[in-house]
Parts: sequence; C-alpha cells; structure tokens
Amino acid sequence: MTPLPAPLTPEAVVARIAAALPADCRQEVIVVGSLAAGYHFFAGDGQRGIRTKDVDCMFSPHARAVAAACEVTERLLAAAWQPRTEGEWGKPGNSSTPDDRLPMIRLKPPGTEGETTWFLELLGAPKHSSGQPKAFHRVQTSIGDFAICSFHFLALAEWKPMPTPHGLHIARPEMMALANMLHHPVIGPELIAGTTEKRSNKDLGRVLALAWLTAERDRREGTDELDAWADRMADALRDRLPDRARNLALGAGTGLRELMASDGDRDEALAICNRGLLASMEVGRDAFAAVGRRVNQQVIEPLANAAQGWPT
Amino acid sequence: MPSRDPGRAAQDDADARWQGSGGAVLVKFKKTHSMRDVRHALLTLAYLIRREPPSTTAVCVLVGSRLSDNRLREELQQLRQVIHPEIASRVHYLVGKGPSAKDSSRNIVAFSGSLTDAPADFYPWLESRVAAERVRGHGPQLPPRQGVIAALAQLRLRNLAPVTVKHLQEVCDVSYPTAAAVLKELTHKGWLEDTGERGVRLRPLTVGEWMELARDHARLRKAQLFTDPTGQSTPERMARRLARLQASKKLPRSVRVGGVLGAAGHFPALDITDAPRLDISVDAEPARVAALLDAGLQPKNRPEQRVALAVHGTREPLGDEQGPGSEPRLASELECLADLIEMGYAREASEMARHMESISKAWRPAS
Repeated sequence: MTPLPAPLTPEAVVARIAAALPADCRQEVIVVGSLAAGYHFFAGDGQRGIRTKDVDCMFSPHARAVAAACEVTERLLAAAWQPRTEGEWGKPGNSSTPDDRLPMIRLKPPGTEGETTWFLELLGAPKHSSGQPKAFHRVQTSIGDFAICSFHFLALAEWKPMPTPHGLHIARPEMMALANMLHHPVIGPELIAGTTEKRSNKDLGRVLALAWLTAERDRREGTDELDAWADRMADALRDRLPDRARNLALGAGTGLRELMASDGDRDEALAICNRGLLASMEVGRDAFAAVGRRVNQQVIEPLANAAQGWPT
Repeated sequence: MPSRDPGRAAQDDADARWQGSGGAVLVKFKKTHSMRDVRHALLTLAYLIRREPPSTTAVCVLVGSRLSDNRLREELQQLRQVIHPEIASRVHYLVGKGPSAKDSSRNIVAFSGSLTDAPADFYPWLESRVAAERVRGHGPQLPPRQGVIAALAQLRLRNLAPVTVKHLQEVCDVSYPTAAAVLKELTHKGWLEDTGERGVRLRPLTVGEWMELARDHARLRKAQLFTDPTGQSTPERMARRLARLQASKKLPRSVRVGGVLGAAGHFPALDITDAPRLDISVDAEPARVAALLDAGLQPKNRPEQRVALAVHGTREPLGDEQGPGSEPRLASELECLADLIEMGYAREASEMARHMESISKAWRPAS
C-alpha cells in the first residue's frame, strides 16, 4: 500500500516555490489545485496541512507560458531540483518525440530524494481561441524535451487570481470549482491512475469540498462568499470564454447533479475529500449531501438563471 | 371604524408587471381549478390592458392548477370572440409546471400556454414570481380563536383604536360566533378595556398576562423544525438570505423573522448575545419555505439534532407597519415572545414581557 504523503503546510510550500522562482517570473505563476485551495483556506493556520503529491503551477498568459516554463525549469534544475523519474514518464524526450508523448515537467525539490514527497508540475494557460479540452506544448530544456499541458477550462483560473505576499497568485476557489464542473459534465469512467476511483468523482467532490470550506469560512467570519460564487462565475465565463459562456453556464451543473443522485459516486467523492482537503474535518454523508444541495441552489441555479438572459 | 376589504382592490389589479425593452407584461397569478376564476382574471386583464400602450401584453399565470390546456385555450378563444380584437390578441394565459414535490428546493418552472413570443428574460423573472406564489397561502393555520387573540394583542401594542367585531371578523377571516366567543372569554377574564366607544380593545396587560398569552400562543401554533447537517448555516446568514430572497420576490414578504433576532428587533435590551437558531413565522408551506431558504436543511427527526430553523405556521392579519426596507420584516412581539418561551429563555422572555407591559401602559390614552 502506498503511504500517504506527509501533510504540507501550504504557506511553506508556496513560500518555497516563490523563493526558487526567478523574481520576474513570479507574477506569471498562478497556483492551482489543492495547494491553491489549501493556501486560500489554511494559510496562517500552522496546524493544518494538505496531503498532495503534485503542486500545480500554471504560467499565464498563454503567449508567455512556454518561454517562462523553460526559464523556470532551467533555474530550478540549476538549484538542484530533480526531474521526477518514477513511472513510465520518467525520462525526457527528444526532438523526435511527439508532443503528446513528452513527459510533463515535474520537479522535486532538493534534499527529498527517496522520500514520498511533493513535486512541482508546470502547466500552461490555454490559448483562448483553441477550444481544445487539453493541449500539449513542447518545452526544450538543457536535459531534454518536456511538455506543459493546457486545460481549456483552466482559462477560468486566470480570472482575477488572488495575489500572495510571495509574488505568486493563487486561483480563486470558485474558479477551480467551475473548471472542475465544466470538465465533468457527466460521471465518466476514467479512473485515477493506480486506483479504482473515478477521476470525475475526485474532481466533482473537490467542488463540494471547496464549497464546504467556503461555507465554513462564511460561518466563522460572517461573510456570504458562497452566495457570491454564481455572479463571479458568470462574470468569469463571459470574460474568459465569451463564445461559449451561455451554454457552459446552462450546463455547468449536470455532472454535479449526477454525482448527487448517485450514492456510490458521492460516497467515493466524500472518501477522497476526507483524505485530502477535508482531512480531519469529519464531514459525514448527510453533511456532504447538504453541501451538494446548497451548491445546486446557491450556485448552479443562479448561474443558469443568469445565463438565460445572455444572447444565444 | 370603517372596514376595508384589501383583497377587493387587489383582485382588480395586476399582481405583477414585467418591463422589457419591447414593452410591458401584466401578470395575474391564479391558484385555482375553477374556470370561472380564470375567466374573471382574463377579463380583468382585458380591462387593465385597455389603459396600456399597444406594446403591453397581459397574461394570467396558473399555478398548481388541474385545468387542462385544451379547456384554457377554448376559454381564451371564447373571450377573444366577445372583446375588441385589438385587446383580445394581447391577453394570454400560461400554465406553470413543476417544481416536483420530491425536489421542492428547485425553483425551475416550465410554462406552456398561449403566450409564445415573450422575450427570453421574461421567463426567469416569471419563474421567481411563481416560486413565491407557490409557497404562499398553504401553511398550517393558527386556530382561528388564537388568530383573533393575536390580532387584539397587536392592536394593543400598536395603540390602534378599538375595533368592531365585524372588523375583527374580516381581518382574521373568522366567523361571527368565533369572534364573539373569543370576546366573551376575554371579557370573562377581565382583559377587555372599557373604551366607552363602539368597539373592543385589550386593556394593558401585565407581565404575567403577556407570558400567559405567549405560552398559549406557543402551544396552539404549529411549528416545523429543521436541522443543518453541516452546522454551517447561522441564523444571521439565513436571515440575510431571507432578505435577498424577498427582495427578488422568491419568498413572500409575509415570511417574518421571529425568535431571538426578532425579539431583539422589538426589544434591543434583550439579554441574549447569540441566536441559537432562526425562527420564522409564515403563512405558507413550511417545508417549501425552508427549502427555498436553505436547501441544505433537513427536517429534524431525532431528539439530539440541533434545531437550525424553526418555521411557525401563523397569520398576522393586521398587515405590516414596518417599512419596506431591505431587512426582513419582524414577526409580532407575541410571536417572538412565544419563541423565547419555547426555546427555554424564561428570564429573557419575562424581561421582554415587561417591555411589552410598559409599551402598552405608555400607550394608554389619557382618561
């Protein structure tokens, strides 16, 4: 059985990444995924960590992404960061390797050889006009060729990312939630590598985990952030994906509703969340289902209602 | 005191008006299975639309009706044969379908009917109005007798003039024997004021009498309790959401905030710092109101579950003297006092009752 990665303190990881990056690249990096969520919700709470292996950093804008990724990779290699060698993607490619067969840029921080620890994965902001769900962009480095991946819906992570004192930005939780919802309009059969768990259950469960954490902060601080999600999602869709905004908004909730209607998938999503972002929060089945109903009522329905009035 | 029939004027007006860039739509909502009611509504709309610019249309929207589309279409055709074609062609009907009883948290309503060319953004607006119509007027009713007593208590606290039995009957929607029986009982207890005028009014009550009245009120009204499995929905947050839903017409203004929040509104010196739950008073279907307020809530079905929301079925027939601001309206003092007693805040309830006693004494007209 693979041991769980040790909990990471989001603040420490973001600080370490920022320190390793060239100063002029930091403004171009948006942290996405569980580190971004962990930083947003747990920074300042030294007791709370997140369990993740991959720390995803996206370079934005798209036009600068490949050059910035190349520059950062060389800089990190020079600082003794090591390419991740585990698995079938452990070796860099060369000029004859097709783009979609190149390994991603995954770098382990120095001094962690042999440990089950986190690694940095570089992503690129998507090209607006492409519309492709997933695209690979070649990055030629001194140790061989790699790729950075662009996911179409990660364009939403570029919408008003939140600055950190370290110079990096982090993606807004509601934008990551929307990207995940749009990426999974149905519960698909794809499994997470090395597990029997569905990728869509993990990603859609993440939507509910983000909503849970937002509502928890609302409770603590007397704010209404969760209620603001729908308006921000609407603005972001019209800003970042204007050609498809209406249809995307109208269909954003289909996958999540499917998850809510399936006890088995929802339980699997909860189990994954309870090992990750919601670890040690003791979120039970009833509570998880309640969050799903709230997301549907306070986010998905208002977003769809807003989109009804947009031009077709 | 002259009696008024607030329902009469409303019957002859549109219930809502939607303004689009291409013209307005007058809307009349009907929750009925009677074709006679529909006919009256269509005729009313025809009268109203005469005074409107030609770009205005009018639609009777049926909510929860069993009338078939065929019958409605025939009725509209017959109406159109007897009124001026210019007006007739602008009067329509729509039937709202759903939401399902199984998923009352969802407001999505589909429409079918004779109005087919309304602008796309008319329908989301109509949907929200229909959602509010659906929750209105299906609540568990306060026993009529208690409704009369609650109305008299409100009259006392607001220092309104004595009222006739007929007025009481009308505002409380009760029969003469019911109103007369309540007044007889109150006379027997010595609670009615000798006004020397034509009409009745409670005399200023003591702390003990207000407490007795509130205990009775708490016992006689029906409440549904809801729990929050996440523990994240605070009373204040739900109250803010209630205000937003009312501002967007998704919940009727008759839903009022009681409990600790309401009591503190009436009695700012109330010595409770945190509301343990939200209490609301409604004359609508409690489960649907709760689902619209927060879809995460569930009916409380185990004693150990903490109550997040208490929905009290009641009526406040005297209307509202609080302004139409963005804050939710407060339930009456009597409702709030009953809530405090129900929650076990005996000392704080007594203090509020003392406040009510002082109000009613202060208002006492000089003899």
